[in-house]
Amino acid sequence: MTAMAKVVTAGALLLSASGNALFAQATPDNFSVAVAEEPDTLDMTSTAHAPGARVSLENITEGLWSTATDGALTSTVADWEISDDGLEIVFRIRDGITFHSGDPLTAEDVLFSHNRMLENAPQYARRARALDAVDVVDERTVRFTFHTPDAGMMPSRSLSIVSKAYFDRVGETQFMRHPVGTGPYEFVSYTPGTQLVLKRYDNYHGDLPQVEHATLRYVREAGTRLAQLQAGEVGMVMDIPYPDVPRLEADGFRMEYLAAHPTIAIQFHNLNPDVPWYDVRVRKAMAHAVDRQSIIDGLLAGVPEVTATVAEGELGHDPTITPYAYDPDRARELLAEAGYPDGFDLPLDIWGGGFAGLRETAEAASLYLRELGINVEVQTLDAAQFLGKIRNVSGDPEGVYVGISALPYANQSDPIEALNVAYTSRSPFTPFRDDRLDQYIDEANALLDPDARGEVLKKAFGLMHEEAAVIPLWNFVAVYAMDSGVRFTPTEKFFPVVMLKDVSFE
Amino acid sequence: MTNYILKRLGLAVITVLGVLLLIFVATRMSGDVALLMLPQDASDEQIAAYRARHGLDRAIPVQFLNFMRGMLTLDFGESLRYQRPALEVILQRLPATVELALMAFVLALVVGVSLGLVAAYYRGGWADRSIRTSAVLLQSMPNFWIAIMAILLFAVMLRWLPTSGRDGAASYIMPAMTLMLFPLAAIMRMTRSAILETIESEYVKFLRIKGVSEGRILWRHALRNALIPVIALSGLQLGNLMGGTVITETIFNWPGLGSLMIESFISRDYPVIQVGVLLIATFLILLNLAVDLLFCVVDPRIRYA
Repeated sequence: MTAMAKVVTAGALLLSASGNALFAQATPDNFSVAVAEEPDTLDMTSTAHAPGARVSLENITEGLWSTATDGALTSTVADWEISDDGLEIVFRIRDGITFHSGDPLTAEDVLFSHNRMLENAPQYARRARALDAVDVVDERTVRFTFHTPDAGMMPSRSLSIVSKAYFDRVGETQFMRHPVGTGPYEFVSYTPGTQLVLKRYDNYHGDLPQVEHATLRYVREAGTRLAQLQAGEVGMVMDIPYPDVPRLEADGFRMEYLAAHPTIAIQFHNLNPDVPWYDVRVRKAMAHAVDRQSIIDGLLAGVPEVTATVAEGELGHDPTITPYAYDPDRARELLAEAGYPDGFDLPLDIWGGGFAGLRETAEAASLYLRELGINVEVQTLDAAQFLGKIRNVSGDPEGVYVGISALPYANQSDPIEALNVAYTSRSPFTPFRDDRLDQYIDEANALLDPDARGEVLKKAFGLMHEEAAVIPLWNFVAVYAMDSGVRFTPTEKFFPVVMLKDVSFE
Repeated sequence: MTNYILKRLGLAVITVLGVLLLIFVATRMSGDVALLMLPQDASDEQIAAYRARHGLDRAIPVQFLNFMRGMLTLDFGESLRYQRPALEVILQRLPATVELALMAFVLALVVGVSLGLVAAYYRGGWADRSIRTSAVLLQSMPNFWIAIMAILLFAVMLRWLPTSGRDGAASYIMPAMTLMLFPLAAIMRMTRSAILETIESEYVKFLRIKGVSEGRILWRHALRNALIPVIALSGLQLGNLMGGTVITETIFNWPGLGSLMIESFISRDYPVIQVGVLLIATFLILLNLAVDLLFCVVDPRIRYA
C-alpha cells in the first residue's frame, strides 16, 4: 500500500493546483474526520484492541483517569488519594455527572466497569495484575486495593466507565450496539466499515466543546484519506504518511504532531552465546553502522525524531545519553575487535504487521549493515507470525533473533509500561534479558513517587543503552492534517486519538 | 441433464468442503490468533484460557468437525475480532460487494459486447483500431492506478464525484467503472474475434451469396454463434471481478466483503474467514455451473450426458 501512497503523491504533485483547502467545509455543525482504525466493538469495556477503539470511543466513554500532556495523571470524573504504602487508591466521584442515558455516575458503575473489563478486555486484565480488589465504599466512593504497589497501573491503561443501570435496563445486545458513557459526545449511529456518527452531549459535566455534530469515517487506505481531505469531504485526517507532509503543508493545510508509541528499533535476543550479536561490541557496531538521520530525512520527510532511550520530558530521561552516532569506521573497528572483521550472516526479521515507514526503514537499515560486510537476510513476518517468533525465542538460550520492529520504548504514557511489557524477564515477550535490568524494573514498579521512580528508570535505560539491547531508529509521531481554519490541540499525552473536544475553529 | 446437474452439484459440495478445509488448516497453521487478540506480554495461562474459550485448544480435525456441525444449523461461530456472529459480520458487508460487482459486470457485458460488435463490423477501420488500442491500454493499466488517478481527477480536482465511500448514487460511479474496465476489455476483444471467426465461416459465405445484408448476418447469425465463447469468458470474468473487488474496495473505502476479508486474514479472524470463503467458493462454483448450463440454452447442439 505504500507503493500506492507514492503513486498518489506523484499524481497529486502533477495536479498540484488541486490541493487547496479553500473549498473545504468543516464547521462545528458538521465536522468529519477520516481515521484509519475502526473500533472492534463500540463498548470500551469489551475491546481487545484498546488503542484502535480509543481513537473513536474516547469521545463517548471517559476513563476513570487519564494522562495529561504534561505527563500528570488527571481525571474528568473523580478525585483520588493514594495511601502512603501505595496499596490503596480511593476514588471519590464528583457530583452531577450523568451518562447519556440519564443515569447518574455512581461507585457501582466503576465496580461494574472494572469487572467487565477484567472479563472482556485482556489488556486491562493484564495491567491490573497487582490489583487485589475493587470495593464500593459508598455511593460515590470506590477503593482499589493492591497486593504490591504498582506504579504502572494508573499511567498505563485507563479504566473506561460504563453504566450498570443502563446495562441492567437494556441488556447485553443493546448495550453493545448503542454505547453510552459520560463523555462529551453521544452515540448517534454506526455503519460497519464506514462511519460512526456522534453528537454533542449537552449535559456534559465539563466545558462544552465547539463541534456539535461529528462523523468519524473509517478509511484504511492512506491515499484515500488524503484525497478526502483535499476534496473537502473531511475537515481533518489522522495518520498522514510522513512523505505526504511537505506537500500538504505547501497546500495550506494545518498539521499537528503528537509523539506517541511505538519506537521503530532494532531489537536483539541476547541469551545465545553462539551468535555474533551475543557480543555487545557487535550490537554497538550495528548501532554505529546505520545513519538514522539520513533515513529519516530521505524516506520520512524528516518528521520523526531519534532518541537514545526515552524522549525529553519523560521519566528516566538522561540528557547525557545520546544516540550512537553514525560512524562506519568505529563500527568496523568494533566488529574487528569482536572477531568478525569480515562480517557474519544475519537473519533479520521484519515486522510485517503494517506500520507506515517501517518497511522502508528496515530495508535502508539492512543496506547500511551490508556495508559493514554483514550478510543480512531479510525476512518479513506478519503480525501473528512475528509475535509468535518473539514468544518462542524469549528466554530460550538457543534462540536466534534480531528484528526490526515497532516496539514499546519511548513516548509511553509511563516508561515503566514499556519495561514491563518488553524488557523484563517476567514478560514472555522479552528477547533481551539482563538480571540487573530486572532489578531496576522491579524497583521502579514499587516506587509511586515520580521523582524517585525517574532516578531508577534512568539507570534502567542507561543500562539498555550501554548494552545496546535495542537500537532505536526513530520514534513514531502521529500526524494530523486539517483545514487551515481548524485548530486541534491534543490533550492526552502520547495517545493518538481524535478527541473532538480538542477541536476548535478560527 | 438432471443427472449431469446433480453430479456437478455433488462435485461442488466436495470442492467447497475441500477449499474450506484448506483455509481452515492454513489460517490456523500460519499464526496464532490468541497472540493478536491478547496483550503482547500475555501470560501463557491467559493464552491457554483464550484458546479454550474459543475452542482453539482442540485438535484441528476436531475443530473442523465442530465447525461442520455448526454449519448445519447456520451457526458459524462468533467473530473473534468483532465479537458478533461471523455470519452477521459477513452479511452486513455482502450487499455492498454484490451491488458493486453486478453493476460492474452488467456494464462490462453490455458495453463490451456492443463495442466488440462495432469493432467487428468496421474491422480494419478507425473505430476498430481505436477500440482495440484502448482494450490493450485498459488491460495493461493496473486497476489500483486507474482508481487513484480517477479519484485525483474527478474528486480532488474537478469535485464532480465523492472520493470514496458508499453514500448515494454518485459514489457508485468510480468504483464500478474501475472494476468494469478489465473485464470490459476482455469481453470486447473476445466478442470481436469470435464474430470475425464466425463471419469467415462457410455458412456466412452462403448467406452472403444468398444476398442477406451484412447487418442482418451480424445480428441474426454471427452474434448468436459468437456468443458461446463470450459467455464462457464472461463467467470467468465475473469470478476475476470478485477478486478485483479487494483492491477496488480498499482504495474507494467501499464497505464490502473484499476489504473485510483482507482485514480478517490479517487479524486471523477464523470464523469470518471461514464464512467468507464458504460464500465465495460456493458462488464461484455455482457460477461455473451456470455458465456451462447457459451453453445449452444458447446452443442447442450442446447436450450434457
